[in-house]
Amino acid sequence: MTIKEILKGLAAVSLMLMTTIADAAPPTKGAPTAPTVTGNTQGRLLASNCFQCHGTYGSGGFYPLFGKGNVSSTLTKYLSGNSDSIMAAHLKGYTPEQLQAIADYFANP
Amino acid sequence: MNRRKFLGVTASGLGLLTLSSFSAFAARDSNTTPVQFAIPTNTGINGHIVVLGGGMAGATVAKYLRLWGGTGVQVTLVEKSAAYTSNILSNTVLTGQRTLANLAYHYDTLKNHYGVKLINKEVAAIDAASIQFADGTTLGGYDRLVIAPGVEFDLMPGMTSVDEYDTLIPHAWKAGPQTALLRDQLINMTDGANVVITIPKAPYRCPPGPYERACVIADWLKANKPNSQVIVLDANADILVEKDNFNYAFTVTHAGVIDYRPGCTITNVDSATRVVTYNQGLSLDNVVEAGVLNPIPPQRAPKLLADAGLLNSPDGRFASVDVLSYESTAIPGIHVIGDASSTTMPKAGHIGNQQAKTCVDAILRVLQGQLPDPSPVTNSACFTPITASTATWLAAVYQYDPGTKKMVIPAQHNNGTAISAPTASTRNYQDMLTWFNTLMGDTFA
Repeated sequence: MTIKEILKGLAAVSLMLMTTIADAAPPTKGAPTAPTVTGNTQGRLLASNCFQCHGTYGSGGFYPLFGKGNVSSTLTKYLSGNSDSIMAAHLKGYTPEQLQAIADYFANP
Repeated sequence: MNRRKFLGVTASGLGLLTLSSFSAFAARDSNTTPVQFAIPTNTGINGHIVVLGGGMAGATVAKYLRLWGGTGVQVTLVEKSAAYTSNILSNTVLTGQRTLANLAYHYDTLKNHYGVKLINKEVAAIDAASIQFADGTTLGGYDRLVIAPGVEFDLMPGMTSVDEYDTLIPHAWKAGPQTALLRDQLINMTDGANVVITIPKAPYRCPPGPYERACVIADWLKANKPNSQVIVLDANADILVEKDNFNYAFTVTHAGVIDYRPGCTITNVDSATRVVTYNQGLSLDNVVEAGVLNPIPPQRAPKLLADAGLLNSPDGRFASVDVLSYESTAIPGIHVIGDASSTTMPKAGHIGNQQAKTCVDAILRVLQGQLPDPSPVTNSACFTPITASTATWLAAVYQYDPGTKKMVIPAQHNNGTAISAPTASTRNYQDMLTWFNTLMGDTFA
């Protein structure tokens, strides 16, 4: 099975999951246990621009960022590609230094 | 296989995903259940902040004052309503895809988890030192007052009372009973009669919203009132945002159902007969009769702010603020965030949330004797349904420009302009639901 075939299957399954998620209960109920934050304020306000779509402290949403050490390389790949996604559109508005600061924050939130 | 297990398998089995493939998958790997983090006890920050208004900006500021400020920061949220009804996605109530109850967000989590004190009262007057409530009581002794009151609506020419919006010609630009009334009027409209929507000159709440409304109503009419049209009378000279997408929607997707007329100045609205008179360029005193009339009125910050002397924008309709902290430029100690402030940013919930975080960070720094962050960034994202199953989006990032002291979209971001979706799609519609649920979780939970 090629990676392309695997992804095709994944996309179909994830679309079904998405439908379930879209119909899920309002977000005030059933909150899971939260991880502990360090209290780091360096880059926090800047990184909070991500929270609307990735959850408070990057805890979920489209893709979790909390505690991830690889955010910088992911952003770099987005920028070097030709994606016309809303994520790529957002990244165009930040300087490389700001993107690095955001990645550093999510590695140590 | 449950979802977590499924993801575990994919993560271990597919270590060599290319980025484009990975991101396509990741966007659907969504989890919109909010995570509630603990309130820190060791920040060393102390103060009492009063927040007036529990909408998108006000709820966010209350939550983050506690989340970032810790247990030493006392937060009082003053909100007259028991719940907030989301304006975002409220156009889908008109088409029956959602209910108003489905868009209601309560303050339980702010109160019970974040420790925000709620005061459920109507406010009569404000100043930097105290709030006077309609019941005659007062609240004072706070360090800072943050106001996030939303907007009020002007009368259209020819109208004599705002009650006409509640009973005859709902604007439904604040989701609630008028949304339900507009829905009922659409259902009861005679097939072949027309829906007339009027759009005010910018700035108004949610720039793409009126065009979105025209689209989703047109989509609904095709199935339910096939002989009816949507006539859009826009006071602006052209479509303000996402011009390519909305022009395509008006002329292709909903061709023959939407009649878009730019540059229209409304001169009279008869709410009883639903007859609108307007000028368009050199064509004067045009008359259109509506089966359902939905005037979206010009908007301004509430009278409460005018009475307090806060509305010092050039047009006198909104509150000018220092966008490093959102402190009023008229009255020190009062911050104005969200739709009531006058800035270069759109009046919308997603960016109201980020203005709130900027305001919180600045207040917490001030409480510690520091200056606000000198280079804040805000961002705006808005998904817009075009049909019952497709949507577009609009995105912009704003950086602080010390020269003009304004938030501006930087040159590297589409030459200083917003970026919109290349086309309406079902994928965008699914993403819209993830965006909405996550945004509401970051704001209220």
